[in-house]
Amino acid sequence: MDSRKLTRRDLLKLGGALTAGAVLAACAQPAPAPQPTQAPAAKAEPTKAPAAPAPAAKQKVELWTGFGQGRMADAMNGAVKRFNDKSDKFVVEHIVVPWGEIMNKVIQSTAAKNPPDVYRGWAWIVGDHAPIGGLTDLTPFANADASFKPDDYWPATLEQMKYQGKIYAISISTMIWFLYYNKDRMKEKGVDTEKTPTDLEGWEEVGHKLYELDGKKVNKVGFVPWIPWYNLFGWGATRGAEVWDPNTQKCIANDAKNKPIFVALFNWHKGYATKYGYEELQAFITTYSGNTFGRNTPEGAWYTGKLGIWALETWLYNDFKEYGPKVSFGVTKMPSPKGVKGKPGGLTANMYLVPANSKNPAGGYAFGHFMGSDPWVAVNKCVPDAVLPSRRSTATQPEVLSGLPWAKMVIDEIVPYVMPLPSMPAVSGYQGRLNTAVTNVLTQNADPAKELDQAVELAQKDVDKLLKKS
Amino acid sequence: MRLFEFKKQRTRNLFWGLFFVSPWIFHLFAFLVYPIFASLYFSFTDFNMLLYKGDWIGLGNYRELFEGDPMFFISMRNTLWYSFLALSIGVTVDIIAALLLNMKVWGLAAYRTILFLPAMVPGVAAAMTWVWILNPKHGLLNAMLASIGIDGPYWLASPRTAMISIVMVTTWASGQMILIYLAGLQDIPTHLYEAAEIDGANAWHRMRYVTLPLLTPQVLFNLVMGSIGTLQEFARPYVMTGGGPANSTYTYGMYIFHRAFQAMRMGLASSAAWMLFVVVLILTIIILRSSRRWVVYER
Repeated sequence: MDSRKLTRRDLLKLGGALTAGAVLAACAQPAPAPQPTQAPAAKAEPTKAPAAPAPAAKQKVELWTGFGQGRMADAMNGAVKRFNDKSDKFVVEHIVVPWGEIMNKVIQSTAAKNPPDVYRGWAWIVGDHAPIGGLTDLTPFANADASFKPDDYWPATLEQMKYQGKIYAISISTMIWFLYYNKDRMKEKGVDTEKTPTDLEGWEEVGHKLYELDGKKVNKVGFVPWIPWYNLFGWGATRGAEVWDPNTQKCIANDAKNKPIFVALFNWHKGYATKYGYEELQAFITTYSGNTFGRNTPEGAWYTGKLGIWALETWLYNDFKEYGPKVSFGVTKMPSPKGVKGKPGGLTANMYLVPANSKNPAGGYAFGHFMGSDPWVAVNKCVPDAVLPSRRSTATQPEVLSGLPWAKMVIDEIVPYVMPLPSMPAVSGYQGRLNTAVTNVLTQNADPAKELDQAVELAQKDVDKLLKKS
Repeated sequence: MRLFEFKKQRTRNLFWGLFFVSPWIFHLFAFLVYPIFASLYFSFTDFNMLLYKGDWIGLGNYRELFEGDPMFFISMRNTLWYSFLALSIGVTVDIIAALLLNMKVWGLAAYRTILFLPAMVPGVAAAMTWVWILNPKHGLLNAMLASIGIDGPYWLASPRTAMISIVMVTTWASGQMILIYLAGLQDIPTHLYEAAEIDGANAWHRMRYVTLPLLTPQVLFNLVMGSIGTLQEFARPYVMTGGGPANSTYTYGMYIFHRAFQAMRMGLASSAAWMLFVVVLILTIIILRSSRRWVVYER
């Protein structure tokens, strides 16, 4: 036997050794990454840059958003390019993560200590993630940045950027709710589209006229409070309700003042279920509700007149130009019941957030601040998105005001008076508890007062758990 | 000397044997043993998903499940109801399908393929397709019912019919169970039927006293596997209804998912998962214990 011949055993040994080598190499400690830029000490001198002297090469900033296609993606990529051109310190790499997955992926990557440096999210994330240490405190960066001007933000928006006085998010845009009404459908039913109602009862009357039924089946909806989804904080605000007391850290939807309002609100929802049938309305919703009732398709329920009136945020406005250019429609602020001094609904905000464990929080902050402050972004990103820039100075630019025909009305009549989404722990859980309560009222004939009490009690338990940890 | 050589050879073989199964051993420990014990530990902590740490809180999560969260009971009730419906309807329909497929008729292979095909369709894709088929306004099924003058139900849109609709889809995709019954049927010795015929048994008697008793081992197997599978059900209701309408299809799997990845309370989710394990264990023991009375093994 030739001793130089490679036997099968030798081959297996060699293969095994190679595999073991590969495994060891894969498990080995990676080369030390560049030190993350340290957050500056709180209350640093405003003129000093927050980070150490800038290195020659730009630092990479990983950005996650869901803007993957269409006009919003174009605008996002344009903003990234502009930031990269302007910044001598950072270069942003934009990674598209579908909106439906972005939160799960942020959570997983934060736990794995490998999150993006900044991501695009919403106001509720501040309340949900800041108390459990899921976000980087941006206060030191903001304090050290002379161009960060808190007074320039809409007060309600600034409130949402903060949790317990610290800044955890930088807002790019602010969203309020409109009541959208289809003028074509109203004309069909003989409703005067120029002299529209001013109170909730008036709009409900119009809504009832716009229904088209086939026996019990609902073919066209006039108005349903829970289409496209429950908005109990917002509808509660129209009746003057409040949900959170920041001083006592208590959920107050069922205190002496607010309980009658919410019980009335639940009964108002129930009235629609009783009149048109919960199942019949649900059948309509199941059929047409995909992708917010088909907002991105000309066959969507709103563009085809199957929905007469609905309350939704401003971002729907520009979808009309693209998918329903022939639909004649109008918008108004969320109405209050007759004789009630309520607020014109709720307010929430689009945010840039820097997760905990971010490798480059300074870069994350810098990009978020750029998106919230740069006039080019306001004109070229917020206007196509049909959302109001979050800073007064950018929102009142002539190009913004001409691009968003409703902006002046929103700035003068809505933003100063709305109820901001409370920056409280477990805020989305609180909304979820109330949604479950009203669902039980609609489907199981449950007692609204009892359901409300139970929902608030459970929400408060969630809050208390988080507050102990914060 | 030879004994020493033999032992050396055995040690070498053992080493190489372990070496070649080491990927599987690594997989077993990394992705099964460790997660099992980790989740048990997490269930006694307020584990924070984002920071990947938690403090020991003893039985706090288990107490919260029973004292604090109505969704826990809703999801448990829905899951038990789903499991009961899926298993009772599934066993009946699957046995009937297997009996039909066991008949000597023309085109048998084609029928068997047709009935097994749904089991090969990826679950989520099938669920999405059924969402369209069951659409109350424009769905295929209601259109077909309307063509023969029947006003179809609201299927997934109604709290009354949503769960049964999902059970229907589950039964549609149970080709593997049918295959097991079919194998069981073909394993029944023909001489038993011949003896029964000689004794004057008619078709019903043969079914009642020969076929069904000798099929009970397969029923037991499918019952145990089915109860484990249905109690863990997640994907189908998640895709088809998201747990609605009015939480009528909100299953225990969804409850665990939401607590873990939306409320980010991995500790609470882990305790819920362990509760499910206990329920599955008890149910399996009950089924196995009771099987001594009703399962017939051919001797």
